[in-house]
Amino acid sequence: MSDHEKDYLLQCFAGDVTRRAVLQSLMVAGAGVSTLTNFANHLASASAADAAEITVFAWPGLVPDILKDASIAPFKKSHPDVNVKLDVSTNAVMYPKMLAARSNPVISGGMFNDIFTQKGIADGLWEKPRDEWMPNRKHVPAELMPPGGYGTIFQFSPFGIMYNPDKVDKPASWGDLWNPKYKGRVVMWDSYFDAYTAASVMAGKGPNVEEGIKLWAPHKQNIGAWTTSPTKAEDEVARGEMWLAPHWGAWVEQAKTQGKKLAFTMPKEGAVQWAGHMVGVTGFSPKVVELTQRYLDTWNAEECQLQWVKKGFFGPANRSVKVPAELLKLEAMMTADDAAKKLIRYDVKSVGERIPQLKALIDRTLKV
Amino acid sequence: MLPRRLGLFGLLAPAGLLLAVLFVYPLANMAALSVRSKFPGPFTYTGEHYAKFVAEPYFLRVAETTFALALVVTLLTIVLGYPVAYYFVRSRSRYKHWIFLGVISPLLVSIVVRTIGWTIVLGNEGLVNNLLRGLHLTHDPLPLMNNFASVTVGMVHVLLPFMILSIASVLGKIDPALEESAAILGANPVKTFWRVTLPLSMQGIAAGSVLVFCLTIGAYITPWWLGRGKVLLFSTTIYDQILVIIDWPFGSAAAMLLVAATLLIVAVYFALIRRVDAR
Amino acid sequence: MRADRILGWYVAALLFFLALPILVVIPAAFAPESTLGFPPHGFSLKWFQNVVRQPQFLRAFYVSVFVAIVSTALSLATGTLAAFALVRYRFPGRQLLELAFVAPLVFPAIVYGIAMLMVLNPLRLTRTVLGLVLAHVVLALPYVLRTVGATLHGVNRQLEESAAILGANRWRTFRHVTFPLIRPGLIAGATFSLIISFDEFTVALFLTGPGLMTLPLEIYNYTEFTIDPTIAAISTVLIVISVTVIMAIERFLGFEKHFKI
Repeated sequence: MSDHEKDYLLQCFAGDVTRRAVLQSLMVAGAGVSTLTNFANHLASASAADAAEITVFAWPGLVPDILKDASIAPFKKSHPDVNVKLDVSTNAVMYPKMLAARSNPVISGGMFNDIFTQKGIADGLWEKPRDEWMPNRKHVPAELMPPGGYGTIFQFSPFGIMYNPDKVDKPASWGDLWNPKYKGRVVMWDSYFDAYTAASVMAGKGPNVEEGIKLWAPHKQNIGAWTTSPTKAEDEVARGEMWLAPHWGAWVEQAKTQGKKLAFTMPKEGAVQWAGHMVGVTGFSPKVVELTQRYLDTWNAEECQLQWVKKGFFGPANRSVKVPAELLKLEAMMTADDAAKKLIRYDVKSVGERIPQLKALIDRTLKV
Repeated sequence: MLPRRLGLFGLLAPAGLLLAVLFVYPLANMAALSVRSKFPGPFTYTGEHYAKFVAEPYFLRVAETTFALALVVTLLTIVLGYPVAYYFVRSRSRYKHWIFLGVISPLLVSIVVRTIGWTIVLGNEGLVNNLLRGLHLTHDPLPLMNNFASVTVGMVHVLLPFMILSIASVLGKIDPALEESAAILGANPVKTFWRVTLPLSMQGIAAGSVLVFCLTIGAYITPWWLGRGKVLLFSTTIYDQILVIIDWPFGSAAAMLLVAATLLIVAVYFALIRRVDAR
Repeated sequence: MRADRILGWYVAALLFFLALPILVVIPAAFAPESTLGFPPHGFSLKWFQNVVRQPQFLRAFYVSVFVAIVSTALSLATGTLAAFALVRYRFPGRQLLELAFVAPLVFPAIVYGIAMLMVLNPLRLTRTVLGLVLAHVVLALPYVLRTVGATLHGVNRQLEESAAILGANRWRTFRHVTFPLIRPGLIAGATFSLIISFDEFTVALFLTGPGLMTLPLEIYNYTEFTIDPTIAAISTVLIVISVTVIMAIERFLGFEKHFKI
């Protein structure tokens, strides 16, 4: 052993080097990690602080692209010092996130479907929309507005039947889903109740979810899969794994433009109304609340409405928006006034309150 | 030899602190939620969520399926994975990295892609069914994808890498000289394996088993898609409660029960391993 | 030897089973149809073009890689220290602590995600890289503890004691005797930790937001729009990268050195 090594060993046995060295390296590591993560944060975050910034929740898919062009851009022109950020996610994820982040909310507004809108009312999450900040509200038929007065509809779509035209004939009735030929070939949406509503209407019992579930019970072997994602249902039907699914017209049409082998029809008993609502969230300063509502209102402005129609195949809530004639030929497409007349609506408020019981009923009746 | 000055406390402090602040504390929060009658809003303290779980036969069935799945998957991964770990460790060098890649290949693709891959193989219009129909063995497609078996296959598939690598890392350190001595002393290969190699690799099997068992219990996406929503598991129930129904008190209660039950099983398992190891 | 041959065939068959989804999905990335299928009817690179055209995938890739590497490094460090404590020392509550360290494996990720969101939100650590990294370290710790602990059990204390007798200090003993012996455990732990973090989806779902997205989340958001071979294309790219990285590591370190004595 050289002298150098001996000295080193002696120092090590003395212990101080070890302890100090470890402490030092820990500190350096700590500083290193925090600098690194700060740097990474800068890399990751998209924008700097502005005079005012609002964060709004939007669904994934083509929605963010539509919003960037037809909603955020015009809004920027009228409010140049306001920066609008989009948090892209699904209803099922965003709602819990907002609930958990209530003490320090970030998202001041967004889009939700009927059920979550009602949930938000029950949980006290929303701000009341003001007509002076949302002038386009007056163009929306009153029948389409969500009960409770806290949301504003901006798009809708009929909930009918999606099918694979290569595998089955066009279904004429909701009861066709019960055809024994389709054993194991129907996809049901796991946390949505419109299919049961429709079954109940068909049986003459009005839009009642519990009745619908009971009507489905003897036919449960037709249900081949449960899904919580519209694209998953579309994928299963398009590849022929499944043949039919209660589904939304707008999404089927979108999938068709992506090249999937699908078709949509509204059964003779009628289609149920699905609606997209915009809501403002409580817990923010009056200025942010106003800015958010003014921004959300652009979703009902003609420019954005036309994009919903042309790119998303959604029905426009704004009755003064003209739907192009070729699109009106699609079963999935209709004007706001038509929707008010033709689509089946049910008591969303009471359904929203009874979700645990309804889900339990579905689990025990149709899944075992 | 360890830096004895740091001592036991120093060794445990970083991990312990992390766990205490970022695991135990958030969970204590959720446990507090689980005894509220509802959230958000005004509430009373109640044990009704726990009671519901124990009382209803539906939930008992869910628990049964969950633990049965975990047990089956664990046993299968041990039996199927051990030979691969053995081969990986003992094989000649040239193919080692290919074997390693093959072993971790299930983990290299995202979960969405993996489950679609299974649909392509096991689905009604999938490869297996097309083959069976082509050979005129069946007329209607076999429902290969909406049952306990398909979930088992999917879970075994994704968890085998964990078992294999856990066993391999321990197996590799067993001195081949030990096996050679046993052979010299007259033991045939089977006996050598049973009496020498296997006991020495117990730690690897134990580590792998704990991983696989616990991961199966907690898995949600793979069982959901491979069972097509028809296989009822604890994890999917909790998912429903947290994200769909938004009944967080009940969801938290279910989670607490699940973790308690699983940790109990793991504790028993640890005790058994210690017994075996002591021999 | 015949037994060896049978074993070899068995391993090949099992590896085929393990690689099956990849073997089926990768060709689908080159197929023109928009529904992922096998066998492919045609050849097209348009899905790869689609990936390149969308910058969010690349950005999310960088974020995921960064988070994976940092959280793995931290979990290896803290986990190895804790493994030493749990394996080498006897103290009251040790078994309880062992269980506590296993708990993150069992705890449903959804509940953990919500719980972390509620804890980190007032600290303003949500939507930050630090918050995500810390959550991933907690999730990776059990793996590291299991694998490193398992190999540590097998380390012959006498080897370490001889080194000490021969004059090596604690650090040198660790570096030259213990470390090589637990290296397979570290590699296994690091592999698990990297993959778990990179693939981690559920907890990230709650701790991310605009400006901070990981790759699994971007893929998930994409599949909420459509399920088409774009995701197969992304997976193909990732596989090529992983294979390249592993081959490179093999070049420099050599696997057989680490999984054999």
